Amino acid sequence: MKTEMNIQELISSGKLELYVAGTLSEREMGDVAAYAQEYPEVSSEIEKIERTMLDFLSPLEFSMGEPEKEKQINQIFEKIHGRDEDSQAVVVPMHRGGRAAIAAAIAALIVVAGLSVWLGLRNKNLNAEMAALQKHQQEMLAQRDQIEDGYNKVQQEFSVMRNIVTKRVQLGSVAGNKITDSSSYMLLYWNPTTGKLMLADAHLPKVADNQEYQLWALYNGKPVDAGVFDVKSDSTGAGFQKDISNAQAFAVTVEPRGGSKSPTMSNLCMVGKL
Amino acid sequence: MLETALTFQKELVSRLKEKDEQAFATLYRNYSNALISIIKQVIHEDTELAKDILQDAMVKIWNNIGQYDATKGTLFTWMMNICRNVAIDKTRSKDFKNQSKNQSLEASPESGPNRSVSPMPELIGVRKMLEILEPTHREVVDVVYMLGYSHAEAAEILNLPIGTVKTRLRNAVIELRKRFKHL
Repeated sequence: MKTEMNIQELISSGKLELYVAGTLSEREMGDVAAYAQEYPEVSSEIEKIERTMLDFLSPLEFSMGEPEKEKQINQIFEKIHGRDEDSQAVVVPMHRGGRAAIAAAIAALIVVAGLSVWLGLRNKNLNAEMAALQKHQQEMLAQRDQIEDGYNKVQQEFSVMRNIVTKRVQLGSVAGNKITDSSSYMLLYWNPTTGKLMLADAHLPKVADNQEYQLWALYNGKPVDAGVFDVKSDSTGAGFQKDISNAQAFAVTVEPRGGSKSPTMSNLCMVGKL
Repeated sequence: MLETALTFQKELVSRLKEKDEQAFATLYRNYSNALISIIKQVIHEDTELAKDILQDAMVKIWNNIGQYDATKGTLFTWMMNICRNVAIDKTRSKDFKNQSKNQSLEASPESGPNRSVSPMPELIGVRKMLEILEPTHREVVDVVYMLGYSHAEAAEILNLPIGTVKTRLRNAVIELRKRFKHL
């Protein structure tokens, strides 16, 4: 369970858009819902996505106006209340008939009652079985989605790494900086043709909770933002950063959480040339 | 202002669970037009039939509101699923099939798994809205938001990596948000 996933990362991942569409796996839906409960930034982002979706799904061409909506609402309540009335027993006046007819009717009633109890019990068992099967199937589907997601990620990473034009860039600690030391190191893979940039490994010290590391691509002396990342204790999972089309070197600074527009040079800690 | 909107949603849900008819009417006023788009996408029919199906779906929502679980998704998502299911059931019913026979062959709706991604004239309004997007963005919104496919399925249909589906959907929604000013 990811406990300290970067909120900005979640917001920009595209997951919230899928959450509003309701098409994530059951577990991921639950994860996002939990984040929404805890972080107002996440719930307000979800709210805005939902409003956008409502807007584009409600074009003027066939939108109902207020009077039409009120008419529909009334009809819906008629259906709701009508159903209640239908279920009430209807009293049928009894016709005069012979004793035999009454006896036959009672006998028939007993048979019907017995039959319906039996059918009811059978139905109940089948329903329970079906619900269990459905639940099982949903769990399997969710699991499959998770595995598929993981597999696709690995495959994407692998396809960058095995590509012959991909460059392997090692970053080392900048002399004299106060954040990292000679034991720190980082490994990037960058494909100059596709621009894909992958952070494969980072052994860096933990930074304060309100800060995170930001990666920069340097080209002709100008820094370009390549995305932020977190380092938990002493290791990090591999992951893609922003696409970078040109670079002569990569550098890392420590910035306030969410990243900065330009690097804070006094916090420059890691550098690697191509 | 957003805070109040969020509290409003929470309050709306708890009032609905207490079977508050005013809250239910508010729900209909807020979401009905969007839900009609979702239903039309399934039935490929005119708005009048979609309104009838929405009525049935709303009765179902009223009866089952106790089962809505906020820890599994938004109220809108839950309602959207109910509408899709009621609409799909309707396309399988005898009534619907008879009704469709009265139409010309070209206009006959597809049903079941062959839900098409092609533009349909009944949804022209929604299409126009989507035209502000570039085509690669438009198809992702179509498959995920209109047809309700999972991201894995969408990736397969569009022959894209899952990551690309997510990024494109995110960028498309950002474009739409600029347009509708929900930033």
